[in-house]
Amino acid sequence: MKKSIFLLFIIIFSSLVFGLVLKGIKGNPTADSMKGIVEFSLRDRGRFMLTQNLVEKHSFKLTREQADLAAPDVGYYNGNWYELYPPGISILSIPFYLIGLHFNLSLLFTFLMGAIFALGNIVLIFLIARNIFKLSYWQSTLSGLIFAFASTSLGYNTSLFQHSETAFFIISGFYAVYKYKLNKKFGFLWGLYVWLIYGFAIFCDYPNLLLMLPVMIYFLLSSIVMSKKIEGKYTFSIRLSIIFTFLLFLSTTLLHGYYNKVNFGSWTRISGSLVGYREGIQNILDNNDTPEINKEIDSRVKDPTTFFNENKFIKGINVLLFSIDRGLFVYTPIFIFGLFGIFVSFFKKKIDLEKSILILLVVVTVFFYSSFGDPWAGFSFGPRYLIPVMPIFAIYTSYFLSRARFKILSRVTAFILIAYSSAVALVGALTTNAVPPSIEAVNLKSKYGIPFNINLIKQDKSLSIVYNSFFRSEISLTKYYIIIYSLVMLIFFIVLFILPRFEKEGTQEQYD
Amino acid sequence: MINISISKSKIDRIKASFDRMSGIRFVLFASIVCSVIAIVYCYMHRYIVIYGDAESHLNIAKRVIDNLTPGFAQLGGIWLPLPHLLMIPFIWSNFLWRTGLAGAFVSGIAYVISSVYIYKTAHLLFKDKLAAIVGALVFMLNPNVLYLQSTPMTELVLICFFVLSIYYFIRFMFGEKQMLSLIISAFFGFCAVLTRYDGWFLVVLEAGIIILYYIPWAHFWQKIRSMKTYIKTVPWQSIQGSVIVFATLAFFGIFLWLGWGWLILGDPLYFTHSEFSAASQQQAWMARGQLPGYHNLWMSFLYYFVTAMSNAGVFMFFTAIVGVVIYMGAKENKYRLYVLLLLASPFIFNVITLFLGQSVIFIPHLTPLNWDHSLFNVRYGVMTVPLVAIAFAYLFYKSKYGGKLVLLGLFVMQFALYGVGYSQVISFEDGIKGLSSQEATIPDAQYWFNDHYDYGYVLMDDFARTISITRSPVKMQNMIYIGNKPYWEESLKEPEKYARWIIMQRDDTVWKRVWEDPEIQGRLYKYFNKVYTSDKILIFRRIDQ
Repeated sequence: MKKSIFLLFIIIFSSLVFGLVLKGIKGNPTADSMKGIVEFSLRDRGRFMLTQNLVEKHSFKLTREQADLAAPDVGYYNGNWYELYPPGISILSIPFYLIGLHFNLSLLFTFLMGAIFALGNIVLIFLIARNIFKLSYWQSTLSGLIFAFASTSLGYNTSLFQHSETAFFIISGFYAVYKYKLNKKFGFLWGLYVWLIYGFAIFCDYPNLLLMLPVMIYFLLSSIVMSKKIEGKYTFSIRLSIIFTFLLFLSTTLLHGYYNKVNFGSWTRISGSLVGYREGIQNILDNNDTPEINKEIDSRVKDPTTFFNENKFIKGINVLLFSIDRGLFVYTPIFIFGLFGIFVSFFKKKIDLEKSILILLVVVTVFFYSSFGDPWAGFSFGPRYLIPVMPIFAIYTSYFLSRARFKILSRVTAFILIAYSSAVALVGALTTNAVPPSIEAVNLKSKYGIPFNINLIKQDKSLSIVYNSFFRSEISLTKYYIIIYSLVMLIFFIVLFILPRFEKEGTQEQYD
Repeated sequence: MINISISKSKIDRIKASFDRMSGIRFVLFASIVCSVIAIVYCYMHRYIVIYGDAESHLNIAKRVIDNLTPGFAQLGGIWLPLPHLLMIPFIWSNFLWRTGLAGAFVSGIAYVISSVYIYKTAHLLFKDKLAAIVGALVFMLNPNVLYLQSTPMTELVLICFFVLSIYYFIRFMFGEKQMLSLIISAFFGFCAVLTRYDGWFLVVLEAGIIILYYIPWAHFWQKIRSMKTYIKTVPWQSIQGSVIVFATLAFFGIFLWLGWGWLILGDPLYFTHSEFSAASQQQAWMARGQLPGYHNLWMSFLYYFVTAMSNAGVFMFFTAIVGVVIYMGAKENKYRLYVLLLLASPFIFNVITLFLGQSVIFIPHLTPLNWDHSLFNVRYGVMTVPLVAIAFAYLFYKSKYGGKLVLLGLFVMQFALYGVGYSQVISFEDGIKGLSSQEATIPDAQYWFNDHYDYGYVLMDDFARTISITRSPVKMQNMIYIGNKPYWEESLKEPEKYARWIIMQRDDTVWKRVWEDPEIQGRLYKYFNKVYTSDKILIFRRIDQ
């Protein structure tokens, strides 16, 4: 009962804030009508165009106008344009698009999908913190709220970026394995879910193949049971359900391969290996402005794995964690407590499998994207590549608070850090995710990092549909910002300082 | 459910046979196999002498026994002599000299001993055979270590003496045959001192740790309030005795080298400030503003940190850091700080030398793209592999079954990173295409000379490495270089006196003294024909009478 009340509270409050910052425009926009709105990132535009094509033309191909709008994240094959990314997110958003179409709000409803997944993330964070970390209700609630409002995920939860969904796939997969481990009788149902989500996650974003690997390792380890010395024997048991349920992963992978075969001529050729926008345009220009099938261009295969290299790792980790224009601890310093939480867990006498897997998820994600040639992730707000592991940082932040010796001091410090982190997150959510990295901003003679978005707030430039529709004529964006921010901080204050008074603290033994 | 049952007796048999198996024998056998395979592979692909320094080490050893003026003076006064002396039993063979195998044998033996003693050190620290074997494997299978043990470079020889000295030093701290252990540690410290300058730092650090070891730290803050009483509790006699025993032998190498410099070269500190010294060579980089660590502690740290990471392997390195953190937090390890200091001494030493401008490292992870070179001296990072191996072994030892599996998985994944091209075997890459490479800069003149050399003495400034001697058909006793007194000095004044061939490179000593001096140039043209000309290199042959 208590759990339900807390969950209900989190969902209602989060929905309210997500609603207030939700990005979108009225109507059913086309490539033409979206052209002028530069604040929408090319990823938002490209994915929305693909959703529109899937519904209107039943096709994965983009038109030239759509390709121009989504460039440079488009590939060229057989005289056609495609999104460079797998189409999973666009397929997922079809129902939202169709509902939106009915109300003449197709873009808004399509973007709403991210918020729905974000709500799922918040609930899962609460459940993991409560059931696996055995944190108290207020600490579990705090984890969910930190992810929702104090992290830069806020700006992406209300857009068509894949990160909210990826975070959901990862932590829901993780939680499903946990349930699979506990639940012997209906374990196969959880197993089915894990394989399905893994297959589909890859169909939404290729790096998920690697990012979700720790979850699959956890799945494998949870399927093996070693019983010691039963009747003079050691017995290793492997749960058959992991093998049977694998069929579902096989099916989704076959579907993915079929998509590749139909569109790119081979089961194994992925859209990320197509030649880019520039080569495509060159081909068209070379053929008197007509896209001609060019076997030579089509046979050029980019190897996406070459983007990842150890030489880029140090610079990448600096950009992702500490840099002014993208650093995790610059945008969301409350996660420093998350880092402390991870360190604290190392010093326990016994570190359990679940906590190890969560840490491994963080390590794999940070390692993978640090080694990527573009750790800035193009035009972005904060370290968007790290959004999939922000739920884990949020949980470990509360975990650290539960272990800290000086309770009041640590909560006050946490509140200050949350105040800063939330202020930053809200600035991004209300304005845009399309922020140039410092190296490009210099050439564009533009601001970069957080000041870029603050500038937009001052200029009353927002993508929030609620603000633009109902409040723009009444109050400035700054006032709108302050109202939402005050509301968020009030809730954080209640959770950090009021709720603990009504809840018994967990004992130290509980956490050992 | 699929059940796989193994009878308890079978498991017990496997366990018993593992318990019976000698960890040392296993490591010894495995390291010999790895060493031989790596050397054969490098020999077959001609990778043994791709570093410029590799050939220089071979040539120094060769000149001691086979030269126009053989003798120990050929050891010179810059590089420490022990690695060259160790090559002497093999270097007499021209085949072993030219192929570099003479040096590879020395490094290979050092590698095998290092592997065994890394096992023994880990076992001494954790008393866990499996963890110690894992530690040894982390070291043995490191591709950078495997490559360098197949070359005449001096890193593996130093690692060997470093690990030996530390092993016996830890035995001393643990109270196992204390005095004998200390003397043996000092002896290997002495060897390290005569191998590379890193060894000097090691023995100074060890001497300092002996003092700290005897100081009664228990309840230090309470005792220190009464300073006089506290000082009385310090066992000064034990400190004095141990430090003297240790330092007499370990520091003897330093005095020996200073004395050698004074006797042979007339300057005990010749190695620090002669034109051939590392510090002098860094001046050029400094002038170009390309000495990133110079008087910048953060950059010095960062450069060596990344170099160590790249040599150890990214996964291994960061896992080892976790191991170090946990090791430092484990209060049951009484001497953990001293052990860490000892194992980390190469790290500290290299950061200091980078900071002082005594050495330079370029690594593509950090070096700006617009600099002349981005890969140089990265092999220095291999010195931290023993620390990484032992820290990894500690983490393995502390982990439960699941954790052990994850660590082994990481170990395997590290090789996958090399396999998919994510990571490079960076010390090997430096030899292939870095500034340390000889392979990458073989001039056309080398091929011309190899085809046209017939017989007779060759005058060449060996320090400029104009062409490779080992790759040429010239015998070592036919070379005239700076170490051949009086042939060298006389040839610079009267080039025709001994030499049939003169090879000079722009701005080297022969160029400056023979080519740029009009009088001697006249002499040169009187007796020699210019037979090869390129932008940088000129080759002259004596006009036959």
